[in-house]
Amino acid sequence: MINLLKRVAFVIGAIFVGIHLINYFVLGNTADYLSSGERMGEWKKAKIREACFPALENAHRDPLRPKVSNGQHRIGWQNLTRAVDMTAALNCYLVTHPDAVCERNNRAYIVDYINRYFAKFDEMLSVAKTYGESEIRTVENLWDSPRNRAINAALASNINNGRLIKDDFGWTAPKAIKSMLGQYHGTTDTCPKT
Amino acid sequence: MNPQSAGVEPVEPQKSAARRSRIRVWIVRTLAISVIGGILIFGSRAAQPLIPSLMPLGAGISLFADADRIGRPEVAPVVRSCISNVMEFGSGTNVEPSAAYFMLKMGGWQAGIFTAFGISKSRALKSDAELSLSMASKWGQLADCIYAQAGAALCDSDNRAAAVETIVRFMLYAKQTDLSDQTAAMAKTPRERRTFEGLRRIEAIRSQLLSRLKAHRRDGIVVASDFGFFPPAEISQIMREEKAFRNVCAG
Repeated sequence: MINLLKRVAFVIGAIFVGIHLINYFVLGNTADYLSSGERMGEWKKAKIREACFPALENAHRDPLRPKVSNGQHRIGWQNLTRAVDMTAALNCYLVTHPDAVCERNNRAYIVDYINRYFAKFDEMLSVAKTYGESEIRTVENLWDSPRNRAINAALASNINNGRLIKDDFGWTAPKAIKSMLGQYHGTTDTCPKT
Repeated sequence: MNPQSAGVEPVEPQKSAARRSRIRVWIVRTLAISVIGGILIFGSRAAQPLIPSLMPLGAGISLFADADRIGRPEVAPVVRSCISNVMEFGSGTNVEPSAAYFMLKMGGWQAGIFTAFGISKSRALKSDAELSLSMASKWGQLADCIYAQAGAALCDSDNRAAAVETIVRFMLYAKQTDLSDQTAAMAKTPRERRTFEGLRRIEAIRSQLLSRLKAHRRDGIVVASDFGFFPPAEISQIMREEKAFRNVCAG
């Protein structure tokens, strides 16, 4: 009887874990696993996502978009396209709509997007490392367009003003902003009270 | 002893039940064999045009190849310099070479799927042979340009991957063009003559590529394992018969 119960528990556990692994790694719903709390809403209900669709439509015509400076690079077109799209989207979420992050649902979505943005940069940088210094510089330059710099400034401002805090990111905080999040830990949120 | 009272069926109903059971088994087996046979026969026919596109990792590159030897063909510098000879996008169009390479690969998929489902004929696009000829011609031009580079250039893992993938794809498409059935005498219409000219060009590229591949094999630029487990016969033969006399890439 105990053996049977163990087996049943194992099967149910495997199904539970499997569902979550598929949701995280296959469906890419990483935002489902962000820290919850009164600051974070439901990412699926974020209105900012749809509000920024027009920005994505024209991302590749934007003269300030990320561009490859060196003609002899090893960046695949999929990664180039993704870098441009992600930059345009995050620029819209943080720069064009600076108060969007104050709304709970938007914050959940934006925090997840910030994670994805830096994860893509890290992934491209790790590939570039296999090719040497020149390729590393090419990738770093790609992610240093005026739009990327504006995103970095907006992020710094949001963290400085307590609009984005360490707890929002939980254990998934990107390396690039981890120290900044730690530095401003406990800062009062300056979001307008509704 | 009364069989019915002992709970045993009479002999005749027993026999007929056994016969029915045998018939059922026979029907199920026949159906199973028909289905499996049908899948094998028709499935292999349908999949044939897709074979060049179904090669591991998109073509010819072994999944188990040494990552230091075989890199990413789409970002190879040789592809960057050669792809514009093959893919024409018109003046003023700035297409990333890796995207053009991807389109060339997808062209193979599209052609394969069209041929497999008979779309090419019904929509009067191109015949199977013409599709294969067109793809062989494109991959051949790209491979020819890549193999024309100085041997040492192919020591770069991405360039080597491009060299491997392009020649394998070319060989597979060239095989589908079936030159043996085509003769100059058979080519009567202008369309047939164009096809025949195309086939002759393919054959010329094929000979040149194989001779360059032999040289690269002798120089130790490519080894058999770069081409995976099932390379085209001509490539296998070269890898088997030719020996590496030096390793250009070691220096």
